[in-house]
Amino acid sequence: MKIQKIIPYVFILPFFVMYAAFMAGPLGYAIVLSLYKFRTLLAPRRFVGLLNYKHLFADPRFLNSLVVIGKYSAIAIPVTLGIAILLAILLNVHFKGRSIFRLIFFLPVITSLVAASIFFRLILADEIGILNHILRVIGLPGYRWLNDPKLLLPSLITVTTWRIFGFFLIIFLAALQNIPQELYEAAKVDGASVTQALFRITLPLLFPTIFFCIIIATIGSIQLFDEPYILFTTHGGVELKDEILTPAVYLYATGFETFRLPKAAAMGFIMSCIIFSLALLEIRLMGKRGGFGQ
Amino acid sequence: MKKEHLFSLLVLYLFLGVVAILTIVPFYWGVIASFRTIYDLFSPSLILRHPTIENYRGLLLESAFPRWFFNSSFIAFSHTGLALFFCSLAGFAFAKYTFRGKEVLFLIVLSSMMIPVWAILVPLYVFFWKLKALNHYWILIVPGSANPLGIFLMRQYIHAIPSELIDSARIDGCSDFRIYYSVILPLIKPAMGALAIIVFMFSWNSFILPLVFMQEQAMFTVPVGLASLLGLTRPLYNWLIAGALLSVIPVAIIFIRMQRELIAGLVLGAVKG
Repeated sequence: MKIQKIIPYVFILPFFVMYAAFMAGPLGYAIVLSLYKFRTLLAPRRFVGLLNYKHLFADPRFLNSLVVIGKYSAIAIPVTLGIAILLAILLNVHFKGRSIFRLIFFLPVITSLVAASIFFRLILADEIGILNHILRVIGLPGYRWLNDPKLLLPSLITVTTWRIFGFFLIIFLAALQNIPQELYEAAKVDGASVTQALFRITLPLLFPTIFFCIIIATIGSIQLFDEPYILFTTHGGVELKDEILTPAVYLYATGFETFRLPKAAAMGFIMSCIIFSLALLEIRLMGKRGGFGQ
Repeated sequence: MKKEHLFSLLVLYLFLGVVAILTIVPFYWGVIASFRTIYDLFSPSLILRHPTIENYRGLLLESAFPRWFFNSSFIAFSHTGLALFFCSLAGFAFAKYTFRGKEVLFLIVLSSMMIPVWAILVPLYVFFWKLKALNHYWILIVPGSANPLGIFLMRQYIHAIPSELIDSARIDGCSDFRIYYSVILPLIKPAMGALAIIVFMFSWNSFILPLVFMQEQAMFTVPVGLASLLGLTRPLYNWLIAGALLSVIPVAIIFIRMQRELIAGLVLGAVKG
């Protein structure tokens, strides 16, 4: 009888061991580390309190990285979600070959970010890149897609949009398929046009899903790392170009290229606070609406 | 009326066709470029004239790529295996047992999804450094294998299994682990398939953890290895393209064979996560 009672705990034990060792424990340890200062792992540690945080909020690079991600999100998220919604609405129409299009649009999602970024790095390269080659052939000037400060952010957004729109497309498609067909039939009987049905039925019913996607896209973009790292890395490490320096890239460079681990730990903590507040916001707003289109 | 319909269908195909072409052009270009010599690697022509396997030969015989491929495969397969075992076991407990603290414990499982990797990257690095575990396989295999999303998915599926099946097995004298093994596991195979694909894909494509934890060239995974080739003074672009394509192949094969399960799992994961 006694053994019977322990069994469920045994079954969930692996998770909680890992939770303690690799998640909750490190999270606490991150906060501790961020209160110290040390140059190397072997050097003595000096307690400095909140100094690392104070320095971070005075560090123009760090503040700028938050601005960068703000700018990035403000452009990339509407563009990506707009494309995804449009394509989802089109793919929701019954026609031959739907599934092939769905397959193609989803292909970039499963591609490793590193592989995808390599393709684009070569396509967008300055002198030898195929895009500039094509532009020159049709008589346009080439651009320095990955070097011109004005083009860095647009290039980055192009690559990430290409990578991720298929993912949101699939989510919107699932939401669209949950809208009862009778609503459209009733609207038709009442003499509503296709555009009216779109703006009065489809989009309002899609709104909870759109909101949900905005939140997860924002959480994703705060953590953006792979694409900027691969697109803009050179020999000797990642180049810190202010225009596309995301918090995650800055954290990596701070912690693992210049080895200021306490500062990087503090950055990680600030990032998770931002992410956590976004997630809370999501739960609160979602709770009010009582679930969403899924 | 009929004509109008045909016209809008044509516009639809045209529009989707253009977007589809823009989507696959990078892949297509990658494929043909990987069969070009290094001299016309960047030729804008979309037709392949004189195919050569030189890039693949060089990558496979002269670089450490085969080793990286082995590392990635070993890590991804072991990680997936562990994840399937731990998640189904925990999912079983949360779905079919009553025990003290169940709700609170499940809430902890769910809330752990919110901890971003960036919060724990530095402490984990220090922790593994202290353990002298950097450059070991297990640090990429074990952490995260009992993952909250998997436990959640498994709990959902196992919940739907009638409890009578479990009760009758118990009357027949089956132990709890035996019930898990002979009753539950066969019934949740489809769900396990979906979970396996997602976990494998994330492990195979993961970048920041192996980038930080694996510092010896022989221990790199494919993405980290490719990134290291990019960091050379003169990047070997011909090898890079071939390597990037080879790295997509395992996931692409699985995806094309099990599209439906993967998409269903990802949508569920995203929506409930």
